[in-house]
Amino acid sequence: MSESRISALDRQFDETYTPQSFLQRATTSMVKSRYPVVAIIFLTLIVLCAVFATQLAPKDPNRVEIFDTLKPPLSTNREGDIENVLGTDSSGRDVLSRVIYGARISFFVGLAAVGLGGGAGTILGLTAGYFGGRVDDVIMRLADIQLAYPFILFAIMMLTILGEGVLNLILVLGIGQWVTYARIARAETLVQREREFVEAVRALGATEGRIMFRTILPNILTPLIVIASFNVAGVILSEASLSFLGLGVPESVPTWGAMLANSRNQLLSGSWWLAVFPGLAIMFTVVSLNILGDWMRDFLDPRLRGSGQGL
Amino acid sequence: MHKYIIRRLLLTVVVVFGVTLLTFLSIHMSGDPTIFYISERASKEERLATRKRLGFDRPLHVQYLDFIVNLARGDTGNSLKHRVPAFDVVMERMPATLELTIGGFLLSTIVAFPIGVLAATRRGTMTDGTLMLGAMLGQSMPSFWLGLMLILFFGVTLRWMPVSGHVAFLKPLFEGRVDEALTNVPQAIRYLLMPMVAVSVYSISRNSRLIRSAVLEVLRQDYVVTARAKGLNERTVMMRHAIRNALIPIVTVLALQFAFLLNGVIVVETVFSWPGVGRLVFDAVSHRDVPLVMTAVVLLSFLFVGANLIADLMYGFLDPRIRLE
Amino acid sequence: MNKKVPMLLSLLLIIVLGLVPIMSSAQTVPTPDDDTLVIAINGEPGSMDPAQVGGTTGGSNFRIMMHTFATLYELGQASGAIDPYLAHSFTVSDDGTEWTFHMHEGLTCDDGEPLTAEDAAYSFNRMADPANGFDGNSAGFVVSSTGFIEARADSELDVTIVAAKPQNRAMRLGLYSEILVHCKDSYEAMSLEEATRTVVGSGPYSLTEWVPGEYISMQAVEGFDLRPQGFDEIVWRFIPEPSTAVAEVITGNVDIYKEFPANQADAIRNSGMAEARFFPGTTRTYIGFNLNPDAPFRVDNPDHLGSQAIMETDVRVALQYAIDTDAICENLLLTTCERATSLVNPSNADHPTLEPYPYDPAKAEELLDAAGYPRGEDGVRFSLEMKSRRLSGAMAPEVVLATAQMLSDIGVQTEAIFQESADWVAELLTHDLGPLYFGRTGGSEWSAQYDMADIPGHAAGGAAAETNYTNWDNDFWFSGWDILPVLTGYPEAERALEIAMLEEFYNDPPWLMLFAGPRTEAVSNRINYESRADYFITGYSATLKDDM
Repeated sequence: MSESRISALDRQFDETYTPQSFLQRATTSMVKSRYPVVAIIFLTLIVLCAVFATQLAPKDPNRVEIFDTLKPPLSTNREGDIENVLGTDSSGRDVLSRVIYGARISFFVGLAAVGLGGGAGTILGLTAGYFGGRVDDVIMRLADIQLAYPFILFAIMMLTILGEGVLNLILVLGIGQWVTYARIARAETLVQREREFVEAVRALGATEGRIMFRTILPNILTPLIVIASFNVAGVILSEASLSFLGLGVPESVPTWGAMLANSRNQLLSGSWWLAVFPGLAIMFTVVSLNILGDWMRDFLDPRLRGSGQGL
Repeated sequence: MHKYIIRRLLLTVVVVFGVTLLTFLSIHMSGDPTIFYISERASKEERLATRKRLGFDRPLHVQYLDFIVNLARGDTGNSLKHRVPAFDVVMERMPATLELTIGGFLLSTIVAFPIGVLAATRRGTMTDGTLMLGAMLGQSMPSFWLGLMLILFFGVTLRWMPVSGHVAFLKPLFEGRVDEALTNVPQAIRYLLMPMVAVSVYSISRNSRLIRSAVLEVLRQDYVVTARAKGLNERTVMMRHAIRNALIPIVTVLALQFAFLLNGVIVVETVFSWPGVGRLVFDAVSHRDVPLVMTAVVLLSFLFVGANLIADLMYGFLDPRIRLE
Repeated sequence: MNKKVPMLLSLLLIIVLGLVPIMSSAQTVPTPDDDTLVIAINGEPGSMDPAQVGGTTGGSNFRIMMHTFATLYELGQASGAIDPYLAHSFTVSDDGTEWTFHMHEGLTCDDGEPLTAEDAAYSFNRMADPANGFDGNSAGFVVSSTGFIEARADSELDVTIVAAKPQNRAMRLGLYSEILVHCKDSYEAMSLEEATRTVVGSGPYSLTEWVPGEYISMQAVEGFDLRPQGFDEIVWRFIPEPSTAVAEVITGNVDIYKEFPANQADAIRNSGMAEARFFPGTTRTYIGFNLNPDAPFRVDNPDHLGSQAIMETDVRVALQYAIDTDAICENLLLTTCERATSLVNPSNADHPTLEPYPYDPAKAEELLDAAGYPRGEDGVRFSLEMKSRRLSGAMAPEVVLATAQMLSDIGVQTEAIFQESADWVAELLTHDLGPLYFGRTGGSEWSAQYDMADIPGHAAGGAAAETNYTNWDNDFWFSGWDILPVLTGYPEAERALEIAMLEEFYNDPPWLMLFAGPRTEAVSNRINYESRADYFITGYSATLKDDM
């Protein structure tokens, strides 16, 4: 059985498989629907903030200025200069600098945790769905145990043992995500496994690994990508919830979630900027990720493209 | 089918076993719990005596087996903080958590369904755009923040809603006081409304987006196209083909949703002073109240396993191609 | 597409969303009745057993139980004067070990059982009986601090408390006044388990309902005339989140909320519903220098400059000059406070020779240079970690961050680390917390020795004594405790020794001394209520204002 025939069959059911024109088509499609371009620009900005935080931030984000607490945005000092563009928090720390530094943690924690959990979950789910039987049992029982465990409780337990820290947080959030991917990957694989073209590829003598990763995987990615786009956002919000409970990263590491959580004592007294700026950062990031996810879904799904329905 | 259910129930035992083991090891890995049950001014002798009294001086495996054996006999031991059976402590708070979780679950499903279907059928229109933008915004708010905003706006500024608190509905109902439960209904809903919204807005948004995706996916399938080509009217196409098939991925997500809502519940219960299990368990973990944490985790895991079982059964029911063995 | 489907769906949406205004317009939220006082507290007690006061099991139950249970007597705030309660007077044996209290006639418990000397003796013996496994303030602290042996009823109305050692009068007075009296027959009939939830009280109010996670309500006891009963009913609501509690105050649903976050004062004042009070408290606030040579942070990392540096007295003295307590109090706690000169509350002792360390960063730097810790190329002399529990209430985390910044400003790079309360306490107890920790510990207004007892003498273990959290090893101080009991009965000599010991504390400081308190309390405009400097809330003394 020839490799080329199998590839041809794969391609027939996975039309994204045309490397030479992929980028070109992606760009065209993105520009055509406009929103993804905006999302990409915003996310690039966030990544730049994260990478160049040290250069971009006007102040040390942890510098406490006891005489300058709760200054509103754009308020001036005695010389008439604007010192804190986005104001200061209840410890006199510069909000703008903290938002910029926050991009580093919030965004990368989100990406890393989803990468970790999504990758592991997809592979496990694919394996479980494809092989079934004993393998399926073991993996899905692990998933059930994980699933029977309320995530926040799990996080509280783990963070109590491991202690606070960015890496610990990524690990805990990642472990918290894998089941979602595993279950969806498994469910989709169960459906795909029964489809004719898989039978056909198998009949042509493709190896199990090949069928799993080259034939089935591309066909089950769509829902996983949509989930992932939501998930990065969800993880950013989980970090905020953990901060609310006093868990997560140390006080010296600024994150959007922790800023938002800490703003709660000032909400009633009207220091709106403490909640608004980190809140906006989270909101724009989440919305951008979702727009991007939507677009990827439409773009990666070949059956949709021919239908003539644009966004 | 019956065999399947029996097998699943047996597997539940395995799951509960795994969950308790994980919990037990976690608590003990973070140090000797005794230290949390003596005063700041306790002497060393007192500490050792307390350790012995609480049974933490025994080898770990003995403690764990002891717990499991007692659990099998229906005895969960006394909560270290509350000094009454841990099972009772959890169960007296369970109704409030169920009210919030079930309320949130219903709200997120009932509201998300029309939004998702509507957006899918109106794909590309203003309606679709507005609904999906709303969903995206709904997904970008942490529940504690939304909860505080609701308190600020509806509770403090407008004074329409009670800021926090709880009126029981399920508890009197479970205890057989039906009349009391029924009289409480209007007040119970009033107090439930804001926490329920705070806990479910994220889920509503997420679900409506997923439902939209799922419906769109199905609308493009050959059999729908065929059905349309056959001249079946749109309503029949939607109801008989599209929605039924779209339900498969949705049901999976909704089952997971139950667990997801319970996560939000811990935070939201704190914000609204809601007397549920979430806050209780959080305190129990931070005080290393071993029997209480173990009991709560066991009971919550039963809930989740049940939800997952139902989801799997629905799966087989909705998609005959998948056989449950 | 059939138009009916979206229309039906939209209708459903409208019904769901419509619930909000319909239900809301039906009635506005009712505020409490004129005969009900509502008090918000953050934590729920685990037990309402009168012998289980505080500790991790009891939580903040003493605040509540001092309404349902009476004590033999109380100590007046600030004055320390005896305020009779169940007992009207007492006598002390010549050697100072046997104190006999003479009780009022005709007292009863909630269930009608007569309350006599036998019951008072039972209350002491029950809480001290190791078989009952009580801990916390009564069983854990009072028993060991007073050397309690037994209590016995000499007659119908006379109860004698026997202790092993003679002790400072004010100190023992304070400790005995904290034991809650309960009736023998009622509590003997209950198992320990039942007693955690069942209350047969002896105080001005009796428990009517305890809804777990929600509230405890209590009713004024008819015919109880030893204490006022301003309201017929008192409700204690458990509100874990401070912002929510403040929102309840603003909307008029809560009458008293002690220790609200200082920066919510404006929100409370602007509401017009309540007063936001600031006043000096008795909680001693300080930064502890952990001096334990065997602490893990020192053993695991023997070359760490910072943890070695603070072992030197000169360094610890130098750091005192780095903290601007006035600025902290004025800017972060929105009040003024007096800087402490020792571990004793300023109100307890005028120590004429001691001046609070002034804020003088230049001098701090000078002293550190002289001690052999110059600034390095990066401006850092040495680095330290400061551990704090997560604070709620008036004392905000901002204070911890500000002190860390002030130390960093003189070249002592300090990072504030926040821990779960329970974990923090666990390390504190074993003297492993540090190198620095941000501490708060309750104190009194009526006895210097009560405050000093945190660091007891040789007999209680010296440096290793459990409550000597810094592991301070000072022989002068320990010897002082050996001599103090001998001076009982010679107040002037006793006082002189106290002052000498406090001077030693000042000159070889195990603490970076900050201030006592301050406290905040939100009090509804509809009530008259006098705030207390300590942590208690006496809801029974609150009354409705006449014009309400």
